[in-house]
Amino acid sequence: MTDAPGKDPLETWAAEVRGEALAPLRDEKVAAVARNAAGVILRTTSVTAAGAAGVVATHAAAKIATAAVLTAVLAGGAAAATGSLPDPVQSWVADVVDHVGIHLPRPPLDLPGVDVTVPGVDVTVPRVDVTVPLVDVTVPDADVTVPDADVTETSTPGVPPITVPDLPDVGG
Amino acid sequence: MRSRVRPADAPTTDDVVARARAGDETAWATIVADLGPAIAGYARARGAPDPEDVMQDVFLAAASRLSRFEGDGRAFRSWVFSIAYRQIVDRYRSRRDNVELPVSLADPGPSPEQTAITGIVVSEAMAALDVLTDVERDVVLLRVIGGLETDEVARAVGKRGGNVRVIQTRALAKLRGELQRSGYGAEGLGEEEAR
Repeated sequence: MTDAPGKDPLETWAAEVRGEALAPLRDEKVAAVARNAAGVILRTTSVTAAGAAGVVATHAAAKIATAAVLTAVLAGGAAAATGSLPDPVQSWVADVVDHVGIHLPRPPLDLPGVDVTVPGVDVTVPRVDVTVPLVDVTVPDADVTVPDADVTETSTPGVPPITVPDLPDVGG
Repeated sequence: MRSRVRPADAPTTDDVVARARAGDETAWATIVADLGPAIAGYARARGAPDPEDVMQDVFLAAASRLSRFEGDGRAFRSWVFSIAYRQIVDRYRSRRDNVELPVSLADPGPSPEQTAITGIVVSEAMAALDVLTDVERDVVLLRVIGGLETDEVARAVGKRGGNVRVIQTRALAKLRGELQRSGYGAEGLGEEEAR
């Protein structure tokens, strides 16, 4: 769509609309809008930088807090591992970590003595000595003798003996 | 008729955009001088009663979102017009009944006395826009006043290029018919292909 008045009413129309709508801006207006827009950029940048600094500060504080907690946990863990915590604490810690399969020393139980007496019943278990004598197991050398077999001709009942007649000599 | 302002007189180059990102006021002055008249003109043709206020809001919005913009100087132009399109849609389309849109050609219009009182002067050319729907008007004005190519218009209004071409063809046909009906221009109508 270019200006070509007189050829195509649409082009004439477009040129007229452009001429009517497009008005040059006053220099003061341009300067004011430019100043405001640049100000938005600079404010956004400074806010972003401040936000980044805040994030860094927060991050550093979080790291310090984490280190402190970690130190406390490690120190407490070491004390618990050696059983040097106060008895109630040591017992509690041992109970807690026992659930996750870690066994820590527990303080000695201080239970009150219980005396149980059953009147009229004396149970005596005599000492029983059990002696298991040494057992000598001797395996003598085996002397195995196989006598010479004495094989005799046998006959089978009911079967006539086979007789082989003498054969004449064949000269040759 | 006012003197015509060519948007390309002070082009918004990649370098200008880069300096604008850093908050360079001179770079912003170049951008505003380059694109400001077209944006205000688009708002004016869309019936905004305060086109320069719209223009200022568009540049402030562009400045606040510039860190998210990616592209060269040409892309920057269509990006700024997409902000302008959205601003105008948000500002005026929802309350268009209260906005003084260009007077229809079918409307006899204000009398000279009324015009003198209200200061509203609507040309026959502007009034012809009344035959278009909102989206048709946006597409035509972004092409005619914004100087955007069809694909850039598509990006600005959030539609596909093919869709915008169809809208543009239909809009120009309607405009041509309206101008013909009203006797605008004495010569015959030529064919204009939607680019």
